[in-house]
Amino acid sequence: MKTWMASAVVIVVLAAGAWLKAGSANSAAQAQGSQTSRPVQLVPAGEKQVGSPGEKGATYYALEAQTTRLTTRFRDGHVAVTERGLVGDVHSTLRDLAGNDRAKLRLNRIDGGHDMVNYEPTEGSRFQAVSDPTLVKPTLDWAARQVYGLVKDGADNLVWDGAIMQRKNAPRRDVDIDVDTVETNWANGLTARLSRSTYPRRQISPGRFVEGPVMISELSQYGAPVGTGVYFEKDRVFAYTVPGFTAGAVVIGADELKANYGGWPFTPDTTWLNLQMIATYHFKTLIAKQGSVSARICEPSRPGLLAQFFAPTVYANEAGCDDLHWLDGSILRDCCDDHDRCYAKSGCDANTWWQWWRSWSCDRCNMAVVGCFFARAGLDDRCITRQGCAG
Amino acid sequence: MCGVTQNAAARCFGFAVGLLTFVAAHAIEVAKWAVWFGGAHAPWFLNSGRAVIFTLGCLFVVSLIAGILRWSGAALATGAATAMTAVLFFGEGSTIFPIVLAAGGLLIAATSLLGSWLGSEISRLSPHSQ
Repeated sequence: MKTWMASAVVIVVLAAGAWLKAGSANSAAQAQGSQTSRPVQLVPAGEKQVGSPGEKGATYYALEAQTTRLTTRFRDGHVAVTERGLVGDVHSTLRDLAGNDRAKLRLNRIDGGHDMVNYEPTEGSRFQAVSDPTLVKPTLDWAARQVYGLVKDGADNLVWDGAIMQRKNAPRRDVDIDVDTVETNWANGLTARLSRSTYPRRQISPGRFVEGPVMISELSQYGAPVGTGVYFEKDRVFAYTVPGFTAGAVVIGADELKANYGGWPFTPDTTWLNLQMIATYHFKTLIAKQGSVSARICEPSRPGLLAQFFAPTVYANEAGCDDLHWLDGSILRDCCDDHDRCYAKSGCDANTWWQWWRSWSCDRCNMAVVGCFFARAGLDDRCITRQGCAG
Repeated sequence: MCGVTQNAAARCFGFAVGLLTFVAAHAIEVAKWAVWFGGAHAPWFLNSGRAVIFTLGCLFVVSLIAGILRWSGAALATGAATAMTAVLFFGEGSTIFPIVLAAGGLLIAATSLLGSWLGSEISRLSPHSQ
């Protein structure tokens, strides 16, 4: 009888255990199910999603990731040389006016969002800390500014003040004002050098006058100058020219950005300006070479290769002066762009030059471009950079 | 036809040399477009400042030699312009092709005529020219 009773108790206990286990597995599955069935955030068609105000966009960080070396010279003579290693690690060394090392900062990625920050001053105590991905996306620029701030303000009792680690209760340091020059070395031999100056009043586009402190970014590829960008800090206007790719100077102010972004989504800084010039040249080169940034380059067939060798594809309607791109950086570029727009509006093609009876509208386009070439006068795009170019 | 008179032969040689010079310069530009001429846009001598200098430089040297040999500079320019037109139309064309042809033709004519004139002057001043 006792044996039967003991067996019954064991069976009941085992059954209860199995039931409880099944229940917990069920609830775990339910929990997992509830995790995977989170609602998808839909965005209405035509609505533009912009990043958080004050923050730079994903394109900025994608481009920044290709910066190999950043040399930041501060107004007090300190120089931070920051380099990116092959596996994405970042090393920044700050030197004083005499060239003596003051401190080193290293960033090592430890997972998808966190970095280990190692700070090693030549005088004072070292520390290591984990970055906070909700506050900061560590870049070469961030490392340079961070090591400079730590050397200037000290590294004890650190707290996060926005995206910067600094001493508790210390006044916030605006490092961008302390920056004098920045040299950004990027992929493909591109180098952007930023400097500061003050420009007298000038006209950079019809009816738009600018003046005051400016940041100037000079872009070169393998040492040859390829473009210039100027940001007028007081007027919040960015003007740039990339000869061969832009029709004179391109001017962007808060008015141009209002429709999509409501104005400048962030305050342009020294590093952004260099990267913007690099991005402009990089994307315009891609478009010129392959028709679009994302175009697939297909290998032509063998007869096609032969034909391409002797008679490469000449696109019937490229931006700029078709088959006269040598003049794209000149004041004649606008004539060609106006002609392209006129052709698009009237549905013309190159045949209308000799089939003149087909369309009077096309004839007008053709006559206009010839007249424009003979009598072109416009603004001097060198006015965006030249000192003493009065409006 | 080219063997009828000495003048006709000089014109024929000039035309052929001008045509071949432009084609050769264009072939080099196609082959070295990305490396020597910047690589932007399609390979064509008026699409890059360096390509303009290269093509006109080749034409100038050849027309200088042609001038020394008393070949026709005008025929050389015509040959080069014919090659330019053929290359332009063999492609997909340009929306401003008359302007392109006029600009290219003027550059080619000016270079070839200057080169052949200088060549003929060198030839005339040479002590062996008599």
